[in-house]
Amino acid sequence: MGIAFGLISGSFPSEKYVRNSISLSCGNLKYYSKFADSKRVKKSMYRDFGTIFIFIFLGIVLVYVPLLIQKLVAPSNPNPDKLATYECGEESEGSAWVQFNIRFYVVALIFLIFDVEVVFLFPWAVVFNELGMLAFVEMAIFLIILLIGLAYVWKKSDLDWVKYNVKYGRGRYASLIEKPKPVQES
Amino acid sequence: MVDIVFWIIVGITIGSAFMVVQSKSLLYSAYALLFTFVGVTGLYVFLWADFLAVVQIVVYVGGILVLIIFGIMLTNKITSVNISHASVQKGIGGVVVLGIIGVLGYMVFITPWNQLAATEPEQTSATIGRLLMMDYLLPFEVASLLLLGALIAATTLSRKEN
Amino acid sequence: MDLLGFIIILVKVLVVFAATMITVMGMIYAERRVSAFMQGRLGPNRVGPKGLLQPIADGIKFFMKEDLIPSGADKPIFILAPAILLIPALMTFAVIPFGSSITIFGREIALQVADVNVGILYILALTSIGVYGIVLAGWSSNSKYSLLGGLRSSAQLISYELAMGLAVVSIILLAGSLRLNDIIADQQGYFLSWNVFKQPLAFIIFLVAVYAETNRLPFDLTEAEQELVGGYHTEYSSLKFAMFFLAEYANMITAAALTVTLFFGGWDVPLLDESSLGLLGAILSVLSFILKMAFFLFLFIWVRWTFPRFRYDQLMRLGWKVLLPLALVNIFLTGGYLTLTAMK
Repeated sequence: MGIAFGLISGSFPSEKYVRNSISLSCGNLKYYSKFADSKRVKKSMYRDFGTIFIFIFLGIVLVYVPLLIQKLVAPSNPNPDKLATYECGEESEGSAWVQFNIRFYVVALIFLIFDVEVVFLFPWAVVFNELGMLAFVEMAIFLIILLIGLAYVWKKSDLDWVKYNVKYGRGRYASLIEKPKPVQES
Repeated sequence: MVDIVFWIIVGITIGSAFMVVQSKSLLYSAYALLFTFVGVTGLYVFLWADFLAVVQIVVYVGGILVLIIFGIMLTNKITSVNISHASVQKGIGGVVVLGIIGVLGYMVFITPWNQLAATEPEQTSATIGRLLMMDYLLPFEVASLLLLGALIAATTLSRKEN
Repeated sequence: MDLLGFIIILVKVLVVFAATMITVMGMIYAERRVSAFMQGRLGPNRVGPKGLLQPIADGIKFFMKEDLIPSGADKPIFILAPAILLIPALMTFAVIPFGSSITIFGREIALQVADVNVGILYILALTSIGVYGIVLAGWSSNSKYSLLGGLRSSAQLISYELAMGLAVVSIILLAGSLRLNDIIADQQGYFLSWNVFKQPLAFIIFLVAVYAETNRLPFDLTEAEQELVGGYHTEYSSLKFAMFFLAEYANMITAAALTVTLFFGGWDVPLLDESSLGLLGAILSVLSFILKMAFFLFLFIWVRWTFPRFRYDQLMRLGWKVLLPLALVNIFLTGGYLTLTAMK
């Protein structure tokens, strides 16, 4: 955990702070003093992620040690009625596997695409101040292409949970037919 | 200390990957895949690629794995069909696997690896951003086209035909 | 590796763990008490003075109850699920700075457990692992309510994760770093330098998304009592149920802390230079962090008794058709504004 201890000293590009001090236009003195503070803290990725590893370990201990203790102190006399699956007091019927709405899958698909897009946005946002106009135009192209995708799924009503029966009562018959009821699929 | 942690993570990665292949139930495989991805994240951290490490979790665990599990769960009448991927032709498979391991191992040992000095990068995310915006601009923009294509194709396929 | 550094890290980890647990207990008490006051009741007031020891009594009771695993359940995954939900919920707090810094033994100690360079993405990543615990719990219980609750919840979480991530991007545009410390440093100064004033739209999107991510009303469709009994944890009993409960409250605490860090200057005390005051400054900064966090925790309870629950299609519409486009527009606006000011 310690081999890379303090290889890196804080990574603060100084231009950024100049920019900030201008845009803030007040409280500069305080700003600088605090900034100097955090710069002194040594940084190391191994140390930080090692700490997180300790966190995971402690978390596992915190979850399973109480469960073990409980096994010792809590009563345990199960019977088939206690262990039956809950169904509001009735005998549970059929399997838990019911067919789900395909929409769950479609939402996950659309999410995945936009998730990747968001991941691209993060490094872009970090260097944005450095590159300025160039970065803005580049990301605008990237985003607009993806916005076409969003517009497409929106138009094709993939984002609607309840779809309206669009074929029903269109055109010149629209006025004759009352508003269609939503078709609930589940 | 670092070594112990490293081997623990390697153990988790390979062990769970073995579970993915070996498990008789598809859902168990998908769940074991979670630990494989988390293990790979740990390996990324050892390579000082912290940005990639967290992106690995955001995209693979948060997106792809959820998609896989939804896919399995949405498959109709999954209990009546015995979902398993039992292996067939173990003999031939074993020979092929051993052959591939031999070739790959040989390649690993004969390759003159280019060793870089181990210095911790300053800010990986900023470097990645700079590279994406300057050097690899075209692939980056093409990636958005690829994502658009994937989005349209996937939603079209999953739409119910009337 | 120096021993002192290691001990300091260990102490910090333990302190944060303990603090989270105590806050969770306090929050459980506050939730019941404040809810009661909002409805003109008294709430728990028998155990200890003003009922303050109620959470401890509840905890002991959870321990002494029989732990049931339904016969149809998938045992290993049934036991694994609470851990997968609870551990990431506790781990998120590792990267949040809760104060400036103190000096002990001539060594400066930052009041933060792990200063990860990609802090904000780390939190988003852990949120996405949490989704997984819910699906596991829902599936392994082999109950219809659990499965439906798990599926609903995962679809809800992924939908709002996008809006949350995009709202955060506009903050990063201002700060130019993924480190939470840099984001706080970017907000130092007077009140108006806090991000909530620079990015009001992002704040609203983020706040709504956070309520959906923590499964709180008005977005608690995953455990909608009237239709799904208890949602994904219907079949869980005794200590395992307590773990789901803990995870939910731990998530709320992290959400409040993250809101404070991203939009309200973190531990920053307005108009005050904490570092020049030494230990007093550090204490003030921690107090300011706790106060701001307490407000957002209170807001969670307040909102719970103010808004009715959404319908599922409304929830999806809000996430995909309102928050997502708004967040994208906000990024465009922020980027455009920054470009224009840089050109001048």
